[in-house]
Formats: sequence, structure tokens, C-alpha cells
Amino acid sequence: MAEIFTPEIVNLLVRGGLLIFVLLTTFAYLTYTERRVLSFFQWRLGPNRVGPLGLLQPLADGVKTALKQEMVPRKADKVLYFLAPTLTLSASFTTFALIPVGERVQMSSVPVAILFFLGLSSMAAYGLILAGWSSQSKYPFLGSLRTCAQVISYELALGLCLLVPILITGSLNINDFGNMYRAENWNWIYLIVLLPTTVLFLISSLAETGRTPFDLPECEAEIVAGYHTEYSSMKYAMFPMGEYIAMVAMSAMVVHMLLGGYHLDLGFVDLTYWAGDWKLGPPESWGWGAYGDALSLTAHGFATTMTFIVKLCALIFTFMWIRATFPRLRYDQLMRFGWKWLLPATLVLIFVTAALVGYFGPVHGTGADTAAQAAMEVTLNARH
Amino acid sequence: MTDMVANSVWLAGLLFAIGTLGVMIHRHPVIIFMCIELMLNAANLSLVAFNRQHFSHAWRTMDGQIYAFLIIVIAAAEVAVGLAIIVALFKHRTRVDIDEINFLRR
Amino acid sequence: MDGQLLAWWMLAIVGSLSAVMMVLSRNPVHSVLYLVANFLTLVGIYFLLSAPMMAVVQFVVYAGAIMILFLFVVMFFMSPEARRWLRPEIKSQWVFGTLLTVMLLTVVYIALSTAGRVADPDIVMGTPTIATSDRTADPRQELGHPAGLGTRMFSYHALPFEIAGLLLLAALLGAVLVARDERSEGRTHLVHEFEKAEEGVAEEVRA
Repeated sequence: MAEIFTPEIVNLLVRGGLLIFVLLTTFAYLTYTERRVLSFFQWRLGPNRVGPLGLLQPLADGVKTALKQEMVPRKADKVLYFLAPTLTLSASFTTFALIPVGERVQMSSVPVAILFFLGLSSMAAYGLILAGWSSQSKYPFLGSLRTCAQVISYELALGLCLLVPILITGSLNINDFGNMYRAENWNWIYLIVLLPTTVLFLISSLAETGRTPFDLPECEAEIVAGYHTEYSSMKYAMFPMGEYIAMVAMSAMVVHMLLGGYHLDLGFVDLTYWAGDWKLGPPESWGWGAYGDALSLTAHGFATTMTFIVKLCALIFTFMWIRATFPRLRYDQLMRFGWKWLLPATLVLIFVTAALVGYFGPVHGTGADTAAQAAMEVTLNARH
Repeated sequence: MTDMVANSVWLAGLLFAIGTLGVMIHRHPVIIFMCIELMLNAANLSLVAFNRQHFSHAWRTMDGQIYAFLIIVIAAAEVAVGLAIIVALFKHRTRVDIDEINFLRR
Repeated sequence: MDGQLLAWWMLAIVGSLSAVMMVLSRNPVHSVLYLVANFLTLVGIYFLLSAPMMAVVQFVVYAGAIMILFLFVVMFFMSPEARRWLRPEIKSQWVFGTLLTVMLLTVVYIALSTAGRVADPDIVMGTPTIATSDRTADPRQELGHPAGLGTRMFSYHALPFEIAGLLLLAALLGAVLVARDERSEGRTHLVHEFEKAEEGVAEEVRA
């Protein structure tokens, strides 16, 4: 047994468990924050009864949801009915394994993380579609029909938006997006395309996660609650959970695309480097040996993570702000906007980016990558 | 049976055979279409496995993976057209049997 | 047996079982999902065969996009009436199908088990050739790295790539042309279907 729990495995398990715990708590407090923020926008108080400032409200909600009676429609396709919320939630959780939240604070560093991110967002869509279909009921069916068409349409724009930073950095690694501004050959002219791309990405991620101006799949005025009408108790709670976590993941992506990731580098001074490189972890005297090394985090990693979280909160607030501001679209407006406006706009941006990258050259994150590029060019020339 | 690459080629053969079985016994175009996708994937799997097998210092290309990539592109195009045809069929008749879709001949 | 091989076996078993279930399943929606499961195991196998780029392409294009289209068609365009015609009812189809599959499996077995003997001794099956001496310091030159794949694709395979792009364009136009609904000219078929469905619901609510 001792061989199974090597320091690397323990490290992964601890990080995974911590990630899930943090995400679940984030979800709980996002519901609270969203309700409070929305009520302040609407000139009312919101939940403020349970605990000081209503801070225990998520706990009360959780207990209430868990104690609700579980209802399963008689004609439902049982297996898929249980599978659908699980699929949505696990896809959202897995997305976070790819996203770096700090310098070397990341579950797994896949070289093709961006594409994986896109794939996982469509996996979450499977959950929503199946939820509506497996309920075998009219309104969920309509909701699932809407989800399917909406997700297929907006996924294109989402992927094309991600292509712009990929073109600029020449990398499929999310870390390189955040490091873009720190590169030696960074050119401010790229902001011409990065700014509009981020706005378009934000819009299509709203549609992809089914949030307010685009929450047609669960439009309560028309189709009751859309795909999750027939769900109750904890299985119902898993849908908003997946939606909120997907929203956080999309915001994290925006932080990496535009806001410089987990760095706080103002050019003349890097504010996260004050933390230094000393280790945060179990001291030597605890006798944890290699486990202690695997579980430790540097102070720099901690500082970058905090920076990232602050930037993330700003973006999540933007999402809530949008929800409080814009009314819901009509279905034909949604489709027309997605296909006739968003998609051509992203295509134009890609052309402009390609032209800029062709003229100014791609931005390579670190010196090591540039050396690798040079080495590859040498071998290519030797071959031809 | 301890080598992943050789096993993958065997798996590809097995998946291809299962796909063939599906094409043989089913009568509905959508299911047959899905079985054809499975067969294409089996071919892809063997291409990727062969690429892994023959990748060496002397022969440092990834042509197998590129062929597999091109197959995926062509499969995507095929799915778009094929499903469009099937949807057009559904609109005209409820009973869609592969044996009866021969009205172009009549 | 190391961890990678164990993972391979698990993926392979799940993949073959889901493929068999896809063929045998009576419910078309279940069939589609079994196929998705099979494609996801292939994603894992591609990762194990050090082809991460192929793995994500499989994940995004096949599992993510193509299968959603299948699911869409099966769920929303197949009426319960149409679903009744799914069952392979002719006995002879089963007999001949199984016979042919067994024959095919035999051919595959003979081909693969003699492959090592016929071919060049250097490429005998069963010996992975990536030795540690083959690794370079440059990660971009490793097997399956997107940069190397892209370089090769846009230099040596540029013509097939362009032709594939052209094919996609043709398929796009063809699909739009075939699936277009003549009754509602200038509007997408989808919007039309939505309106029909929602009108139906509205009438029921009124009644």
C-alpha cells in the first residue's frame, strides 16, 4: 500500500480534494453574493436574516435543498436522468484542473489545455441536453432543444475567440496567455485585437453557461424552468452548481486572456515578487520528508494565487452586473446575434490578428521557448 | 499482451469489426452512420499507434497523426452532409428504412 | 504491469464494451451515448500513445461537436413512430452480419499475427521504438507536440490540408442546401421548428 501513496500521488489527491472543497464553498457563497449584489442593484436588502449579514444563508439553503423530497418522473429515462446532472457538474470541476490559479499552482499542466477547455464546455452541454430529454416531459424538452441549439451556435464563437491569444502567443498553454505581457517582445498594439476579443469571449461565455441575457434554456416566463423543471432536491442543486462553476472558469479564462493572469507586474515593479521564494508547508521538524516537499507552496505561489483571486472576483462581479442590467433576449434575436454578428466579428478579429502577428511576430512567453523555436528552425533548415 | 502499441492495433481491429457488425444488422440510417464513424475511428487508432511505433530519431515525423487528423476533418464534413440528408428524409416520411430509401431509382 | 498499461487495459475494455452496447442497444439515444463513451476512451488511449494533440482533436471534434449533432438529430427529429423502425427485425441480417464479422475478425487476426514475420525485422510489432536516446532537449520535437505537428502539416502536407478546407466549405454549403426548409424561405429550419413546438405548447396551455 505504501507504494501507491507516493508523494506525487498524495500531492495530486490533496490538491484535487482542496480544489473540490474550494469550488463547492465558492459556489455556496456565489449564490449568496449574487443575491446580495442583485438586491443592492434593485434597491433592496436581500438575504440578511441567517447569521451576521446573512452570511450563513448558503448553509441554510444547503440543508433545505438536501432535505427536500426527491421526485423522479415515472416515464423518465432513469439512467440518463441521474447521469445528466453528474455530467454537468463533473465537467465543470474538471475544467478547473486545467486552469492555473497561481505561479505553479495548478492541478495538471497539459500542453493542449485550451482545446481541452473547449471540449469540457461541450461536455457540460451534454448534461443539460440529456437532462431535458430524459425527463420525458414537455417543458424540459423545449428547454433542452433550446440549450442544444444555443450551445452549438455559441461554442463556435467561443473557440474562435480563444484563437486570437493562441495566435499571438503561438502556444496552447494557458500559462503563456498570462505571461504574454511580461515577454520581451510584447507589443502593446496587440491590445487592439485583445480588447474586443475579450468582450466577445465574455458575451459568448454568457451564452455558453446560460446566464442572464442568454438564459433562454431556463426561461421561466415561457417554459417554466427549462431543462431542470422535473428535477428536485440535490439533483436540482447540481445544475446551478455546474453553472456557477462554469461561470468562474470562464472568468478565469478572461483573467488569463486580458488581465495578465496571476501576475501583478506593473512593468517597473512586480508586486508579487516581494513575497520571495520561501516555502509554505510543514516544517522539517514535523518529519514529513518528501511528502512535506510535495505539499508545500512557495510564498510567491501564494501571492500570485491571491492576485488571481482578486482579478477573478472583479470579473465575477461583472457577470452579476450584466445579469442585473440586461433583459433576456428573444430566441430569434439570440440566433441572429450569434450567427450573423458574433461569428463574423470573431472571424474578422482573427484575420486582423493574423495580419498583426505576421507583421510584428508572435509573443513568446519565456526565453526557453524562444530557444526551442530557434532550435526547431535550425533542424527544419537542415532537413530541407 | 504487455505492449500498448501492439494492443492498440488489435483494439482497432476489434472496433472495426464491431462497426461492421452494426452496419450489417441495423436498418436505420442514423445508427448505420454511427457505426461507420466507429470504423473510421478504428482506422484512426491504428494510424496513431503505427505513428507511435515508428517514431524514432531517424524518422521524426508525425505523418500518422496528420493522416488521422485529415480523416477526422473528412468525417466531420461527411457527418454534416449525411445528417442533413437524414433530416431531409425525416421530414418527408416517418418510416426511414435503409432498404426503402431507393426512391431516386423509381 | 505498470500504471500506463493498466490504464490502457481499463480504457480498452470500457471502449470495446461501449462499442458492443452501441450496436446492440435498442434506444438510439443510448446508442449515441455509448458511442460518446467509446470516443472518450479513445481520447485516453491517444494520450497514452503520446498523441495529446490527436486526443484533444478527438475530444473537441468527435465527442464534443459531431456527437452533439447526432444527439440533436436522434432526439429531436426522430418521432416515436420513427423509432419503432429501428429494430433489426430480419433474422437473416443477424445471421449474415455475425458471419461476416467473424470472417473479418479472422482476417484481422491472421493479418496482425503474421505481420511481424512478413515485414522488415526492424518493424516487428510489439517493440516500441521510442528509446530514451531518441528524446531531444527540445520539447517541440517530441512525438505529438502541437508545434511539430503544425509545422509538418503546413509545410509538407499543405496541399491535403487546403483540399480538406475546400471539402469542409463544400460540405457546409451542401448541408445548408439539403436541410433547408422550402416552406419558410429565408428563415432557418430550426427557428421554424421552435415556433411550431412553442405554438403547440401555447395551445395546450390555453386549452
